[in-house]
Amino acid sequence: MKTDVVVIGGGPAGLAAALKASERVEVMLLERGEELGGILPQCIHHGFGNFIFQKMLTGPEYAQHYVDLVKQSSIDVRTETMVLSLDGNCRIMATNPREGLVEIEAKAVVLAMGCRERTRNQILLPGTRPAGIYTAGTAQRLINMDGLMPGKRVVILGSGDVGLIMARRFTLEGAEVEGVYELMPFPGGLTRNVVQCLHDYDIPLHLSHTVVDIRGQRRLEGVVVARVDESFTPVAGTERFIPCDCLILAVGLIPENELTRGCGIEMDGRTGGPVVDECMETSVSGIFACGNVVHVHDVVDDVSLSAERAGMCAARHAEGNGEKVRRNIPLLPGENVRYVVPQRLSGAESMPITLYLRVMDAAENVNITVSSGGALIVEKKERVVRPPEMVKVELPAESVKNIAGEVRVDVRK
Amino acid sequence: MSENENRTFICIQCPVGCTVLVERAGDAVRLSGNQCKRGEEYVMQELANPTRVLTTTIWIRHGTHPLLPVRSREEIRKELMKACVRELSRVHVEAPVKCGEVVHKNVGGTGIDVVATRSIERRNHEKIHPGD
Ligand SMILES: Cc1cc2nc3c(=O)[nH]c(=O)nc-3n(C[C@H](O)[C@H](O)[C@H](O)COP(=O)(O)OP(=O)(O)OC[C@H]3O[C@@H](n4cnc5c(N)ncnc54)[C@H](O)[C@@H]3O)c2cc1C
Ligand code: SF4
Repeated sequence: MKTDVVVIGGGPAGLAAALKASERVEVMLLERGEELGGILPQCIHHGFGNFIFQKMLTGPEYAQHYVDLVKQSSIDVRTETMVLSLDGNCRIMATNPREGLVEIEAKAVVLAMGCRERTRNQILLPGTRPAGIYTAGTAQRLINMDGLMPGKRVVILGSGDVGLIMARRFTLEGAEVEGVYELMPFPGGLTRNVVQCLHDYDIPLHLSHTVVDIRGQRRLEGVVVARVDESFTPVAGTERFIPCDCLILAVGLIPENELTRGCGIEMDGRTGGPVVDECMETSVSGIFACGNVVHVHDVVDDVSLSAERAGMCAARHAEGNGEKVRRNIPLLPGENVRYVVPQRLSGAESMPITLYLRVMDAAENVNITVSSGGALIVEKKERVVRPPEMVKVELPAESVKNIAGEVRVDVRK
Repeated sequence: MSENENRTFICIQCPVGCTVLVERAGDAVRLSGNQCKRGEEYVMQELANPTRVLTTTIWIRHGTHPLLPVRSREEIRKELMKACVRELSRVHVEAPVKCGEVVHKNVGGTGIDVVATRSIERRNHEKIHPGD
């Protein structure tokens, strides 16, 4: 099979990329699940789309908007289609129950596989292995899509957004949430979720705490929690047994990049995603990436916006307009910056660029500077920056032309 | 909140979560820190009468999925949330349903309607769902 652009993944990133690309070229959208929307159909709470729609939508509503547009478009949508491999020449192997194994040749590919949750194995939880331990996203799916309650008395480990949202959801569905326990000295999720999910329902948040033991043979009977010191070592004597039949793990997300690695694309160890330039193009020409596969986003609007750029640039590449002189200017995280996306500037297209960054430590009244060889390119002030909240800095289109060497981003008081 | 007292709120109208400082001198209220007008509206509301959008699911019969996600069309008083979710857990609708369609009226006696937040088609296969 041949087509111009193949988009892998039908979440908000894939939907927006496919729609944008389909304005110019032929597009095929491959999704392994039974329906489009990615994680959104199970995120029934509201809080999506404030920037794009200037109103708050629920996850399903946000997805429905794009799914309806895709249905009206010329995009060739294939659900229940799992992509198995991809090579550097945009050749894809995929499989589905109708056609078996299919090979697709494209002129450009957009990676939009999203991310998956970290599990018990990745945080090395000790104790027995009874039933009743779920990742937060799995519990969300069971409650919101299948109508099943995973437990009656719940302990949540991790205060990422999914964990906070699920604390509220369990409470509203009649379960008792004993508390949310977070290893770090600050919450992992957005402040608004701490306020409207925990404070609203008087659910306690225990910072600098972790689970040190799991008890129960067949079904979970309880967990032991303890306080941790600055080096995250449990403090002896602070252990407390909590009877519960359900432990929810909300311990972070990892970009899903098996396909990306399999095709030899350069990765960024800080984000867990591919290195991209301002066109969202990876180190392999013609392969683009967007959404949570690049780095974990907290706001879906940013996913859709970066995906539109990926879709547009992929279409231009497929049309033969993508061959460009790559300037490959590295964009590096400086003081108090954990990562910056894009990691590279190609300077190929003249367009404004949004830099997304996360800080290492919370700080107030900071000055964010983007500079090259000591010369300031842009500067922005922020009142508060916190590790869980992404910071955005706009680079005007014309500013890239004059950049010669390495660009640094620093966040200073 | 008494006169001449300063208080901070965290605006939860969108994921940015601006910290809004409320300074009151006599009758005058001054807000700062919000990045948009919605923040101002939120804080004024939070001072007077805290409300939230209600989101939950209801059973749907003969649909491609057993559950339909729904929301209250407007915000409802915070303390009514649990009772409203309980009321809605007893509501069943019949597929198909279109996104935005009213599925339940006057939730919790608030006068506010509840609408579907996605479309669900009628299913044509035999699988039985817990929603039926
Ligand atoms: C619980 C929770 C709450 C959230 N709350 C908010 C909120 O209030 N406001 C907000 O703005 N954002 C929120 N977000 C964030 C937002 O949902 C994500 O940023 C967004 O869904 C990411 O989109 P995506 O398309 O990159 O990934 P996903 O939505 O994960 O989509 C990826 C898709 O790719 C498919 N896929 C993966 N691998 C393959 C393969 N090999 N072949 C074919 N298909 C494949 C998957 O099946 C999936 O459908 C929340 C997220 C979660 C989990
Ligand atoms: S003030 Fe505006 S930008 Fe800030 S959190 Fe509220 S709605 Fe979001």
